[in-house]
Amino acid sequence: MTTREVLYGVIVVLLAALVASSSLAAYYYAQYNQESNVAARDLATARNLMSRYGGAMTSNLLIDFGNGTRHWYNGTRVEPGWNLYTETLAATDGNVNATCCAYGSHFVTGIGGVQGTPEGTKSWSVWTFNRTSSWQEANVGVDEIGVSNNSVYAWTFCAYDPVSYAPLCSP
Amino acid sequence: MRGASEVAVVATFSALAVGSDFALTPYVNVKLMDTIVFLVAFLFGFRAGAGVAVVSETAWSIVSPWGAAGAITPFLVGGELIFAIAGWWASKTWRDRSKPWGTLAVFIGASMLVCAFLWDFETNAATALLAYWPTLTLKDILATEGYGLPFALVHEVADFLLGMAAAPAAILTISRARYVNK
Repeated sequence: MTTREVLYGVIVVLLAALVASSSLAAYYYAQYNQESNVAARDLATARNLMSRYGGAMTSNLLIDFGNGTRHWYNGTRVEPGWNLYTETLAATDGNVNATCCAYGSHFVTGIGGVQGTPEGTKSWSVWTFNRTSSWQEANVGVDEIGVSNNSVYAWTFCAYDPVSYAPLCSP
Repeated sequence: MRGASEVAVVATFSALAVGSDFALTPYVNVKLMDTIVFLVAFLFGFRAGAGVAVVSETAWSIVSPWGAAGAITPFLVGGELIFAIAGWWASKTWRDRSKPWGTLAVFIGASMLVCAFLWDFETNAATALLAYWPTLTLKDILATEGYGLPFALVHEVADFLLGMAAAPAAILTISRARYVNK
């Protein structure tokens, strides 16, 4: 190759490097801006809740251990942005066993020393409550259940249907 | 190049380009068409490369499994001509093809990367033009360019690698075939 051919080649390679690095930088900048906007929106929501409740929301949580022991954690202090997993950790002083996070949420295997096992016949289930439909089994993971002021939730430990995996008890 | 030979080259490589597009359908923005257009212009001249660009891109715009491209087709064809121009320019600039696996491969890969960037920039701008006309603003164009960035990055990297790998092989193979035919 002549010097002129190499020179043109080097110019093209440098131009390509400039294009590639600029594209990558622009992509990073766009992603950063997008995430910043989402974070700012979530922060505004959290501040709005803080101002409404003065940072002192309370929630009610029932834990039914399936052996006759039922604990109501009424008036558990929760903060904006918390979910049911966070509230359960706070209510039980962290006495929760869980695996993380196969489907985008924690999978709780044990609470207060009562442990379910993969080969066992009993497991922990989450329940939501409202005045109209009373207790309903939650159909999303605990991390996706947001707690709010005066919300009511329950955990039960009992056997489940081996086909549908529906718990054979209710709170 | 004689007319009949040129028609045969355009027909053969256009068929190869569209066929490879179908084969690579699951890999969005990874296409051999760009490399083929570049190489045809590099080895057979601009007119043959432009012919492959127009025929293959027009055909792909109509028969693509993602659906017909519609009004943006002329912009896609125009963008593909960038590769033909670059291939022709490269053939005039880098005449020493004795060692195509060395620096020439890198130069061709880099040229393909720049072409891919220009293709994406032009077609994204055209998308904005068609989507927002007559109220098109600079912000609309920049936003559309932004949405296309992840695809553009894949396109640029794919064209760089395919240009580096396929170009030397094609230069060696086709040069030998032409020598045998003489």
